[in-house]
Amino acid sequence: MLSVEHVTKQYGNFTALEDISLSLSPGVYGLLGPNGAGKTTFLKMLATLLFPTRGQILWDGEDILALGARYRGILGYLPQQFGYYPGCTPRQFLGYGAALQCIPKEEAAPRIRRLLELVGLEGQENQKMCKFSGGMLQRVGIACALLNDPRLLILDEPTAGLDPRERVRFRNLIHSLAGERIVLLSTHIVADVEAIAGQIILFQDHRLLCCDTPARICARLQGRVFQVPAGTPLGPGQYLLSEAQGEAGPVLRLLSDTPPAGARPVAPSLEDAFLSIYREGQV
Amino acid sequence: MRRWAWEWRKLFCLPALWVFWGLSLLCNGLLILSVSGPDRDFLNGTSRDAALLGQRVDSVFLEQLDALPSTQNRTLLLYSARGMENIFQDYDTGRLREFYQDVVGASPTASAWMGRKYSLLADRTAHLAQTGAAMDLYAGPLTQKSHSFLFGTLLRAILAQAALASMLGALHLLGYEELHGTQGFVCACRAGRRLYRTKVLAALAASPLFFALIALPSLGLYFALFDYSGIWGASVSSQFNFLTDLMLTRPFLTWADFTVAEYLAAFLALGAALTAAFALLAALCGLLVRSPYLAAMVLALLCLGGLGLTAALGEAKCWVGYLLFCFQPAIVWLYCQGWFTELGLNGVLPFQETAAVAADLLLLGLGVRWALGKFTRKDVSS
Repeated sequence: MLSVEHVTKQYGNFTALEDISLSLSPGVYGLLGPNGAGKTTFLKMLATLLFPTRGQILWDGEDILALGARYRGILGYLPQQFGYYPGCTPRQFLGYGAALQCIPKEEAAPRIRRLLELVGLEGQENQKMCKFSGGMLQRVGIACALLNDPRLLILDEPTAGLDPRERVRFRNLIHSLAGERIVLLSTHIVADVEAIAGQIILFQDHRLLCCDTPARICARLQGRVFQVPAGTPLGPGQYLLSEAQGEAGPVLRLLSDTPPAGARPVAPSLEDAFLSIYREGQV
Repeated sequence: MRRWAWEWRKLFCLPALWVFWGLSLLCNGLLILSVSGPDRDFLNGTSRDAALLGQRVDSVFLEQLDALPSTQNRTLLLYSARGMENIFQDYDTGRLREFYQDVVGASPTASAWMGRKYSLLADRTAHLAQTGAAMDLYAGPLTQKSHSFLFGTLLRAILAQAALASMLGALHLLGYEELHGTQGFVCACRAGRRLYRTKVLAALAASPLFFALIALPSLGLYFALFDYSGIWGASVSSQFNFLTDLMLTRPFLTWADFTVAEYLAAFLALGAALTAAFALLAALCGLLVRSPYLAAMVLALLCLGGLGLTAALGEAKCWVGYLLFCFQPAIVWLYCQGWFTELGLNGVLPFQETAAVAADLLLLGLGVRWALGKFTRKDVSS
């Protein structure tokens, strides 16, 4: 169980995150927010890379900074920009990761083999990583994050830069890993978390906006999302959420408290909620 | 242990390191080959004669040398040896004391330090007079030139190359994760920021290795061309050996009795320690300055700025400051030709170079320990 208690992070006069309080139990959490909302700062604090200016983060009731190596031993972390040693092969790099995780050599070898199979790199384990595509590198990254069979898995924008096929593959992989772990996944690709996250954490203006299920977040917009043909002028109190291609041609998805003339009510999606929040400032 | 092995792998798999090593050996090879052929022949001939007759020049030595087949070099050697006398018997260190007290006269403290040093040196002179060290042939009239080349040119170059390799190695290891974007990954692992302690220790352990990697082939070539078989046992305080500081020439007065072999061994040991001190200085910069490139610039500024500042203090006649600044690693390197001697204007203590390296290691070690502690609470951005 991970508890975040009144955590604030400041850089001089700039407040990156303010008074964040959360409790996380096993499951997949999607962390959503626009660029600069503080997602990466939050995840880095959970990964002990950044230190809170105020507040504390507890793992099973103990401060993670006091736990030190014991906490990092149950943590798996994939940074936003996964760095690697270009001259190494995935097997070698995972071997290095195992050394950093203090995994005995005899245990590390079979574990690395299993992880390479899990991420679909069993044929390329001896190729130098400098020749790998972004997707292949991300797969090495997730294997590194899983080396110590973590109880807390933090993935910072793991699908950024991946093609759709890789993204789906990645989502499936993360979903299969959830089990008894806490998986915290940061992204601004809403479809990624909608598919696999049990809870969505939303940040706005460097504060926690909500932590709820996708269904409940979407329910807040129930009866307020409409579809109109493209070209329909927007009236007062109507906000354009997105444009899409409908069966009868291009359509607009609108947010409105009252049904616009000629509009068809549609079921709100998580993307509608995301766009609504970061357009309006509130749901 | 595996983490150590990985850090060394990062270091020794760096192609630039081996390029630097190759260039260093090439430079040292050219230096050695620049010694003139006649000088080499003379030293080798003297060494062969000394191997046959011994190093101590006395009447028996002179008779036996005279009895050997005459060559141009042997004639010159005999001529020089006949003029030898135990110069330490009536050597007065008071002249040196007065000279340096006059130089640092603007500072009563520095003047007192100099006075104390040369009083202590008087005891050493008396001891050397008793042992007759001045009567050792060493390399005869070529002694000063060959000693100065070996310890003041070749080994100074080797020390500089090893120090540079050690500093760049330490900066490379400490900046490696930042450059590869892996700092976040490694710091979030169980080992965490403790990895940086491993990095510092790996860089520190690598520094004497760099010194050995450069010194052994270079000295190997030197001693392959210059035969020291008859010279190793000679005292470095032979009257043919001397030092010049501020245009004042004095015998090679060491604080302990050294044969050439012992002096070389002591020099190499101190050189390895000095290289380690440079590695610690680089580690301190690497830990405190986030960017490896900026850390390299700060390090260069510290080394070169320290040299410049010391010279400026001397020019300004701030002698206490000047003498204290002589303890920094770059200055210890600069006066390596006089290690284990009284060091003239650059020293106030017996074995100052040894004390300076020990102090540097201690202070820089404490500094690195403090910086490592600070790093454990430092935000990691990448």
